[in-house]
Amino acid sequence: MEDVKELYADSVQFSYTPAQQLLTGAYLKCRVGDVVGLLGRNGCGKSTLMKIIFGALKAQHSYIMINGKRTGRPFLTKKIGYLPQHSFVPTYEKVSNLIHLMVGEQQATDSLLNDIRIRDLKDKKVYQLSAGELRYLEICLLIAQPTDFLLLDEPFSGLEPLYTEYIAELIVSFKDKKGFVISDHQYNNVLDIATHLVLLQNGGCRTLKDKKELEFFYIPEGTF
Amino acid sequence: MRDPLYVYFIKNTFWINLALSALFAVLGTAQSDDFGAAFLTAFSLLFPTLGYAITLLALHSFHRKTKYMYHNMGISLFRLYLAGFLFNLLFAAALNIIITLIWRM
Repeated sequence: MEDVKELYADSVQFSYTPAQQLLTGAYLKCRVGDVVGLLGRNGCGKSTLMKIIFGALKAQHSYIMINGKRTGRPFLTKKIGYLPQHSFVPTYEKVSNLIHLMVGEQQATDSLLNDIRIRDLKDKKVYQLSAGELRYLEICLLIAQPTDFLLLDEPFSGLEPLYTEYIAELIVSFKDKKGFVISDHQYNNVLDIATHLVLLQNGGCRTLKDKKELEFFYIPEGTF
Repeated sequence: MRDPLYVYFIKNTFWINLALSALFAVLGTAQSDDFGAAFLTAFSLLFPTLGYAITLLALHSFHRKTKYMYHNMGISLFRLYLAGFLFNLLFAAALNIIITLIWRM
């Protein structure tokens, strides 16, 4: 039997203050080939859940398994990557240096440096890039890692439509090799590429059968 | 594959730490009769400890978001900072030995 590559997070409980529990047993599952759209209102805990699943934030309780193995700090397994809401690369660094630094394999480095949207940027410093160029570069750097799962926290926020499209294309073209969990308030972009939809609400995750169901919980009636 | 990031971190902290530790060592030993030996001793103590701690504090505050770059490469901040500490310890020890040998010649 072939091993299915799966990210599994269950019973995630977290609170910033003792008075208010933010996550009360959240559950999320993602397999390679899936694009899970994680939706929810502002402050409902989407970013917190992603940070916990990545291992950057410690939950009061969590049960996280990657490819069948339980892990306490998932990022140490190198099977999972995380794109935070804000840029995570040093701004004073040159794009080509950053690619050499983060992408070890020569073939992958060359392929990234010759990417149609990156080759014109390689001599620029990170702070000279536009928001869309920077986001695209960061996602390329994460995709080039030998991870099985990527958590993308608001990959489309504040981007021009062209780069939104490029990033969506990038995610779709790599979904056979990786599992993606994407959270974004621009839900239309997420809906376009998501294979599964999860709504984070009242501290827990609700799996949605189709986007029509979103109208009951998240978006105005009559949207679809 | 992870090694370049450790080297990158050490290179980033090295010059700031060197400048801070040298400054603190000069300030602390300026009145000493045997300035050279006192400076070397103070510098060797400061470089892996106070100088490094202040450098880390500054980097941690100004480059808070870059921690995800290291995490995405499977490196925890504990391992990163420990690697920096060990390198500084080795550097201070090597510097001490080299300068002592030169003085003895």
